[in-house]
Amino acid sequence: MTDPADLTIPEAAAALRAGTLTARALAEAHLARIASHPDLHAFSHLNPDALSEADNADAMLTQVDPGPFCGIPFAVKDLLDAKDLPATSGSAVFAGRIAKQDADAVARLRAQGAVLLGKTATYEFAMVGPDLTLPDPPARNPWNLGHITGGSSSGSASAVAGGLVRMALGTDTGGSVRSPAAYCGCVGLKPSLARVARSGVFPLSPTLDHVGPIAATVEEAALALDALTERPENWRPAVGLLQRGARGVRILYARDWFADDPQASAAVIRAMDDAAAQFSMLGATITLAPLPDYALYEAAASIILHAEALTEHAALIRDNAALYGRPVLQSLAFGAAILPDDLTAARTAQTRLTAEMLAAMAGYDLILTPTTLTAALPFSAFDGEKAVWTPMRTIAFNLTGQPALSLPMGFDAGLPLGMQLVGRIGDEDLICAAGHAFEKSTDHSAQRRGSGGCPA
Amino acid sequence: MTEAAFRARLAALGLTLDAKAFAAAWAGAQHLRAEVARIAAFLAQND
Repeated sequence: MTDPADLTIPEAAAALRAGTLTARALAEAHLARIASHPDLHAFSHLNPDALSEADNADAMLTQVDPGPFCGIPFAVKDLLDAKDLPATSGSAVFAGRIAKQDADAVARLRAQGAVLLGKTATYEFAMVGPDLTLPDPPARNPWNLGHITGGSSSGSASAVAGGLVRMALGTDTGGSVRSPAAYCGCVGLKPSLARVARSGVFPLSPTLDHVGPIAATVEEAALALDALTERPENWRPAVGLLQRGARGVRILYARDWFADDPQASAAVIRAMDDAAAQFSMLGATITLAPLPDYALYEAAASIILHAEALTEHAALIRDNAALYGRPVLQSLAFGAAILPDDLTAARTAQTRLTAEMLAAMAGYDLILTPTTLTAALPFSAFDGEKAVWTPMRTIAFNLTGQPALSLPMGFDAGLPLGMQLVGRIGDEDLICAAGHAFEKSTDHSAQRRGSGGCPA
Repeated sequence: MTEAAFRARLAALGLTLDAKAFAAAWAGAQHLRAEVARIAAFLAQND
């Protein structure tokens, strides 16, 4: 018999509705899976009321049309508040803090009967990591425990990739949903700006922050996004075109964004070319076309992010500097180099660069790029004093607000690689349709490490 | 921005860093200043 923890969200939902599975049994299966993999350090806090929440879900399931997430377990990055649970943002600064209410995204899922299993590890304040000097150990990559997960939604990606839960919430300010999803071989969906409410989330950079799901498959990520969407009447459902396939989709293959970059691994370049060929086989039109200079997007976003982060932390730093981890404090200090006029210029550039991106997309439906330019680095690369750069192609779409989906596209020496599909604002249905078609036509997403979803 | 000016801005924030942390912060600050210059050049080109 299949372990309930291995059921997809639609499979579990169907079994719950049919009465062949209870929400309690499903939650117990996931809690057992979590307990059997403490070496992943994916969860920072478990929800002691998870089973009673599951019992409530079982009661809801007897009602008419309970919805696709009723009784489905989920996890939440410890940057979002969940009522009565610790809310530390991965920092000693907030040690002992208990959330008084749910973040909007958490409340929305709980109102639909989803069962919160616990909080997942995050890089401190979602800024930099892994920091091996913090009291809590960093989350580990299920594909190789000696490698990082990426961040900052590190525990959410580890939990999903390890088979501990099918969907976990993350936040994405520069790629923090997509890059850990890519490094860990799962799906990360950064929605359009403002599609998912951000209240109850500790801010990193309020104009760039997004809340989004990390899930085992594109379909589950799309279902989660629809459950999370703040005003569904204003957005097309992300699952709306899932069966459409990729035929006729016009894809701009942004090869010039990475292929000549010396940081890009040969495996990533090869996997991207293979992915483009696969889309062609699926009936999509692939065109090699240039995009505006990525470095400009990274520059404008870095200025905005560091300036806003320092503003958010200014009051906290005054009284708690000694409690911050060294890398975060140093990173916050960078922001002191930004003057008000610099921030104004970056915002002006943001407007122009967004217009240039949309102009470059004229005649195309989607952009195809890698999520990260390498596979996950080993923890040993972070032992030194020097900052370690993990090259990505993600932050541009925090700047433009466009939806971006990261999904598995292959492996390099046993570690997953991720590609990114990007649409216009509101086009989550199209990127999910193309991603779902790719996923179904390959086995990259179906592969899991070891029995039970992660190394023994 | 000079190192002294950067140090003064940190002090105004109440942020005291040891020598090693300051060196790392100053290196990051210089990188960000280069990004500021890149954006200024982009905007100048488009004006």
